[in-house]
Amino acid sequence: MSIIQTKNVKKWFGDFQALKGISMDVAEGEVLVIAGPSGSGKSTFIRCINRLEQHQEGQIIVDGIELTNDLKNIEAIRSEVGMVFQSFNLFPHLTVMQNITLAQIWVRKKNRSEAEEKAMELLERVGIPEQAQKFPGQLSGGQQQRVAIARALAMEPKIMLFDEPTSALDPEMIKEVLDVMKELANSGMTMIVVTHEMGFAKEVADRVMLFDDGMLVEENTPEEFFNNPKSDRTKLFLSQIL
Amino acid sequence: MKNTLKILSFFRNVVFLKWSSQIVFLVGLLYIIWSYIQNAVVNLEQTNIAFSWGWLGETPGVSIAEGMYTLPNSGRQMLQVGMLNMLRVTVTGIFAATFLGTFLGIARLSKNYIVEKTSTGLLEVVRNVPLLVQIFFFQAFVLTFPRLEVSDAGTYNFHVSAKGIAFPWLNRQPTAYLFWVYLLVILILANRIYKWRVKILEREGRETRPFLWSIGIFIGLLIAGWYGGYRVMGVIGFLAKYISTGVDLLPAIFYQTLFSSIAVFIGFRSTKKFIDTKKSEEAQGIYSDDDYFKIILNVIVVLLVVVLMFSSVGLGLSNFLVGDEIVFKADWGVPQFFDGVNNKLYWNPEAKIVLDAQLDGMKRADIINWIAVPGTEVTKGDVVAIATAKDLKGDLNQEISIYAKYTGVIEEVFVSNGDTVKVDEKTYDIRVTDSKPLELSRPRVEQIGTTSFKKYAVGYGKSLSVGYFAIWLGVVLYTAIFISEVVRAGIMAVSKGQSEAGLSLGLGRGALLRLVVLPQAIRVMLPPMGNQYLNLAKNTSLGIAVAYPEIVAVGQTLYNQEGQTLPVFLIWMAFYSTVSLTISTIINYYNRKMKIVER
Repeated sequence: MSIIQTKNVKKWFGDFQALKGISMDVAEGEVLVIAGPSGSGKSTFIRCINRLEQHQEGQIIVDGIELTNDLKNIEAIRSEVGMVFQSFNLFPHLTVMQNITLAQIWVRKKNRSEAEEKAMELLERVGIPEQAQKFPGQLSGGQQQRVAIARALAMEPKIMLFDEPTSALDPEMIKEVLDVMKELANSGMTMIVVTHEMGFAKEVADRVMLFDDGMLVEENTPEEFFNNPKSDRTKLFLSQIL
Repeated sequence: MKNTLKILSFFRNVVFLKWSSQIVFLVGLLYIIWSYIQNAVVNLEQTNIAFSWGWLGETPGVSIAEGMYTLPNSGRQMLQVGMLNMLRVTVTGIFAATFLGTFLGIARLSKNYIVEKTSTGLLEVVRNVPLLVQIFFFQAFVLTFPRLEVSDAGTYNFHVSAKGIAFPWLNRQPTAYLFWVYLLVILILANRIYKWRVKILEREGRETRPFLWSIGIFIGLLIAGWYGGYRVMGVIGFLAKYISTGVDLLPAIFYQTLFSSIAVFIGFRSTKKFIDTKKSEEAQGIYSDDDYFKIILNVIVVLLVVVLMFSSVGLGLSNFLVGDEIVFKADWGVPQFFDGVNNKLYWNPEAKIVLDAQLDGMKRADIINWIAVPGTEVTKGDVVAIATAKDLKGDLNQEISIYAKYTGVIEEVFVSNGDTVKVDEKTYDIRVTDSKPLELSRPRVEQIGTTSFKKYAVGYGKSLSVGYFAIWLGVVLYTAIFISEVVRAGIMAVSKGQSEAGLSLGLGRGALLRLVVLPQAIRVMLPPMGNQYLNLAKNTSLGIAVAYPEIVAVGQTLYNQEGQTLPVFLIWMAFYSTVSLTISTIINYYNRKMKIVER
């Protein structure tokens, strides 16, 4: 049973074609890692899944709802799909607690106490309950990214998208974020992760994909992907990255 | 040989050079200021105009086109009218420019082609034409409309003529001041109730509906207030009366001493604070030369203020507050508030009113009989006059409204039986009624006596004079355009990632703007916004070009009359500084409050 289906998705920025027909399926509970050189379209692709970018051709179906220009569909899909960004994008004018409760209150229409309870539960899950009343500017990068994960989880999404979640972090902080993501993967969350952390891919992923030049070059299990890649492009990529 | 070297080194000594140059500069500056003042005083004496504040108490003998008093009885009152006229434009203008500017700024970012191009077009026109030209244009625009004619007399929903623009309005009645205070109090109360309910919600985790509670209580109190409850606020009037009496009784020397002491106190405290910081571990009690200069400068400024306070300048200022020949309390536009409360009318609706004037403007009802003799006391419900309405043109079935108002201790207590009639002749009783704090009315064009002069009746609807309209629209539009750029810059300064994060959480466009983008944009916008407000306040002085009697126009009339240029300039400078500093204080307060917490 696939929760995300894309068929021949194409996307242009002006006359530059970023996606050249991507077709794929993601099953419920699956952890998918997308790797690839920069400019290969991997970020653009996952941003299309919750409509932060608009695809021009093809079909994207998330949880049975097709992404069209219908505003209602877009908002329905966005509240089902959580996203974590490379640059965290926490709201700097709100406390950690307010960051996590904002959408619960205004989108899920929960009352404040319920939302705060949920927020504390999530902060404990990501390991920083003591930071609840601080502002994002007072936290380290790793802590901020963990808050961002908690913020996305507060909406109780069915799918989580990670857009290079560790690229802006110091090496020491990468581990703390990856640990949270591993824990999340083990709990059965459907995840699409764009990352250069091949260790994470080996350990956690159910499937690994390689994007190059807007195309899906290889799609494989982690063992096969790292030990026995099918395409030459994958071999070249692995030789440069490992 | 050794000696010469020592002397040379004395002149080469950096510390000596720094000190001597600073002292020379300071002495030079004080000398220039002093000699300028001396020069001015001597020159003025030679032209037989000695520097004086006496004109503040004298009747200027000129009339002002619009304002609280059109025939001011003293120079001070005339200046007050100018100040209030200036503030009228500034305060309403700041709100209007902010709303319009925010709207235009968002429109400029719109993805709708027509909306975006229209606002950009407006921006380019308004930004590239001098403000003075725009104000003249708005004046000329209104002046193209026909003059008021006798045949125009009557009531309208909307009327434009060379006299100005008139439209329906909620007009303040004498008790409105109390009502505003009441409104403020219940607003604060509603806010407190909101916070109280939120606290319970957070503590007990149950839905307490803070918004419903506070808005419900607010509306309830508003209705209770509207039907008379606001009079409770009259208690403030009693206190104010005592304070204003006290302010009046103290002699000028008290205020001179008071202000001097305040200056000495502030100077002493800031110097002490500064010295204390020097005593800390890191500073180790070491003073640089600049530190000494700072302390010396503090002392000099304080001394200057003290000297100034005991000169004629300080005496003039103190006289503002003293009841000698100059009355503070009754002249500042709050007499209805202070005195009215003591006059039992506002305290008790059944209280008595002194009848003290003639009916005016009854051009179609030609016979009026006063039942209550002017000068006697009447109570609510009394019949004070009988009016016989008769249409002078013999036009049957024409709508005639009977109205009467009289001025007295309390200005313009509205008295009306509120009837409109549709017959040619009938008599009416005119009774004393209780006015609401605000009354909605439509504008009227009325004839002044039996002359051919027509005007918009005072107290009916709202009429804007040509001058007011031109200067108001001019500064509002001009400032709004610059504010729109500030708003646009502020919104664009919020990174795209913030919107994306909000959208990915499922927030709608409106919620995203309100909860995420605007709170961050406002922080960027506040300081330049403050500058725009200051510009607006100062640009109101262009009102002089379209004969709007704001402080500059009024001041110029006054010094043309009295020849006292210097005092008028001092008052102008003091007034504009006060207004500007008030605006920047408010902006700075919000700026500090909104600051994003960072490590």
